[in-house]
Amino acid sequence: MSTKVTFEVEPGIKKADGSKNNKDEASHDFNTLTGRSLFFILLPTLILMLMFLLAYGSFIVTSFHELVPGLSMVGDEWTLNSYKRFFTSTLYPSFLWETIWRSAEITLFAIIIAYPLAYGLVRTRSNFVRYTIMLVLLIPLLAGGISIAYAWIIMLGNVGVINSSLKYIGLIDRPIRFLYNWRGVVISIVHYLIPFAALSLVGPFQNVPRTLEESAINLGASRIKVFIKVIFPLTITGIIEAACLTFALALSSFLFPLLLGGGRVKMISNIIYEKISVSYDLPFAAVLAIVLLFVSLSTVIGMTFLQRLLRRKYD
Amino acid sequence: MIKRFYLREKREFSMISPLMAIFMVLALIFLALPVLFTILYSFNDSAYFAFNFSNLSFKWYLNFFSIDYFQHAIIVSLGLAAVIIPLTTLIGMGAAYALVRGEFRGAAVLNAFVLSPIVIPGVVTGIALMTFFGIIGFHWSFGELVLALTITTVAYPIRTITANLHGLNANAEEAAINLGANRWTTFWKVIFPQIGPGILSGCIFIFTMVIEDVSIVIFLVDMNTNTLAIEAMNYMRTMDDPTIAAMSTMLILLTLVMAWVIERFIGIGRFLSLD
Repeated sequence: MSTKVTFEVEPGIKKADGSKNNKDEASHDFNTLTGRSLFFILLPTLILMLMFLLAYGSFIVTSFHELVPGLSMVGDEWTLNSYKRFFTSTLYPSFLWETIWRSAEITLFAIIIAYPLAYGLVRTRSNFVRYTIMLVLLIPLLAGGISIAYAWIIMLGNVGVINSSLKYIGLIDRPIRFLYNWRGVVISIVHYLIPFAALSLVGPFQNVPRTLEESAINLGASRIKVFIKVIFPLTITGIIEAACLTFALALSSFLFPLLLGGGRVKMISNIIYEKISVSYDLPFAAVLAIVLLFVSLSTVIGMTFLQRLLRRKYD
Repeated sequence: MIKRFYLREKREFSMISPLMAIFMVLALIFLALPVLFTILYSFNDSAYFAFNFSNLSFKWYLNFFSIDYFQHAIIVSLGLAAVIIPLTTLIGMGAAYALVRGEFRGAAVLNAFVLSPIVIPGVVTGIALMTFFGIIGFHWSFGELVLALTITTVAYPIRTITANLHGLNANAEEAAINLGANRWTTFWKVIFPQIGPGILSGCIFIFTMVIEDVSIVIFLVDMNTNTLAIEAMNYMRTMDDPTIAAMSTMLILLTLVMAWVIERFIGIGRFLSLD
């Protein structure tokens, strides 16, 4: 062999090199990657995973401590006080509920707006329509949250695009307030999450055979009836999956409430950040983060369960 | 014959019902309008929003580039991207290859890790890593950012390259191995040239995350490592002029360039995992 860039940590490969006529061994080597070479190519990922787990471990441990009063230091004693503080306060659970309900609202709007886009993406025959939709979905995905937040500040301000236009037409005298309250926050997050919702709705639509829709129409069903009787039932599990993803992403919103809420409207992530940046209360921030993580994970697990249930019903 | 063809075409064209088409157009307007107005506003002469765009000016672009903390933030963000993109792609490539060609226990755990950035809120990861770095006494902010973003973005190349590897024809690989090439040579000479699209998709996702992330990064930055997104956010909270519109417009332009690159080398449909 002239090219001797051997992967020396793998004894199996060397053997295969030496006895390459042995077909069995060669094909075994080809099909599966085992032993030390597998370990070495996975090692960096394993280190990252380990750090990730250690990070979560250390912050779960922190949640079982308490801030030493007066000093911005985490105490040594093990205590459940930080959890107790969360569950006995009236303020923080209400922030959590508000976050959950607003996320549900955001999810509903995002799915409703994303649904026709995903449908168009799958069903259109026109390249122009297809590319327009893809580009419009790609921009929030790649240009990022800051650009979208800023765009909505321009749109929704008291002298912004929407208020100026409505005033110009004569529909309103005084501007509608969109910023520094939930309206602007919800609208901007909806925009930001539509690409995620639309792209996860594409798969389910691809699974609805075009012929099924065509034959329903040919047999005289109205468009709306086709939608209710054919398209919707066949895409419901996909809708749930998309809703689950959107909801999980909405729950973790941080930037949009910060910028469009202007400190008056806060979601749980903003409270967590405040606990750290203002009062440096790491244990309590950890408790809030664990509660948020719990809600987020149980949504995903709950939705998976619901999906299985629905699949059994419709299949 | 022609008539039949015409009828078929017409029927297929009308697959999208008028009502659905209206909703589609409304959705497109909802998504596109704010972006278009950002671009318009960035060329606005006055600091206040107004509909008469008579005086087009580039002064907000000049302003953006003349502010020293934005200059610094651009260097920080690009520096992070320059370190994280190759590092993460290489790590992800190894893991993807192991997932597709290897047989090992714990693949399910690795897959769960790959999906984790979606489920776990950024703020949670941010404070977890902040606590961890605090406990081990690691206080080099740039290094913290590199580690944090590598951990949270490694999922992207793993996913895109795994998808790419699954689509490959295994015959060439088998032939190379049967002809005596070892796995290392086979990987670089046979597989690597074919997973370009997966690698490029991964790089674009990593770049986007590194440039735009706020919720993780905000817990780890110090005065000298404020990224572009953090500085832009701080600016927006204190100032009200089109400087950020200029920045957004440039980011949107960059997005269009990336879209062109994606279409040229991967195909936007494939990038968005549509086909």
